[in-house]
Amino acid sequence: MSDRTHELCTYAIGYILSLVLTAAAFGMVHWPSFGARAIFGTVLALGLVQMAVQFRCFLHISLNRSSRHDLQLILSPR
Amino acid sequence: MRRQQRVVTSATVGAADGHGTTFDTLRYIATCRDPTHAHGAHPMRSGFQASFFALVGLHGLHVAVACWLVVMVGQICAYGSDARVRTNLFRLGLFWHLLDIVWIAIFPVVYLQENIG
Repeated sequence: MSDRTHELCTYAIGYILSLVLTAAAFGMVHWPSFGARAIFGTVLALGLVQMAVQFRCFLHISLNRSSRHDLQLILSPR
Repeated sequence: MRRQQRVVTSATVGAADGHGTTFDTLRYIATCRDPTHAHGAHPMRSGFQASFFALVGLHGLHVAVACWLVVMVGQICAYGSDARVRTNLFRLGLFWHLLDIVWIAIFPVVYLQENIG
């Protein structure tokens, strides 16, 4: 697979995953099936998953050897 | 960059800003129609409402003017597929996606927390 195709696939996968995660969060609030606190907690958890997806797919930040250096730059307190 | 590519890229950048502006407009309308403000959603009503209306209005203005995006479209039209234009587009993309991540947190914490339950 060429770099370009690979890149496009990464964005497409990120987009689909984000849509699914957002729809899940909206669905949980629109059709509530358990307590408000549990729903809110799950929405926050879904948000965290979506952040990880977007960091990985859109911002090219991952645990790979090549990009770990960038991750250190972001995470290190200095 | 071919003419078609320029048009598509500019339109995509414009569409991104269009979504932001639409969101802000809907937010303003929703705030004015909020039943909890039935007796007048009004900036003069309380400190909270004054700051909220100032915040939403300023953010709306900020998104609508969209200086960076306008400059970006200008660069695409003027210089085409210059290496620097490509880098700038990539940076704009990174910035936009970072904003998305911030909004993932803002949506549940600001808009959902108070209204759920």
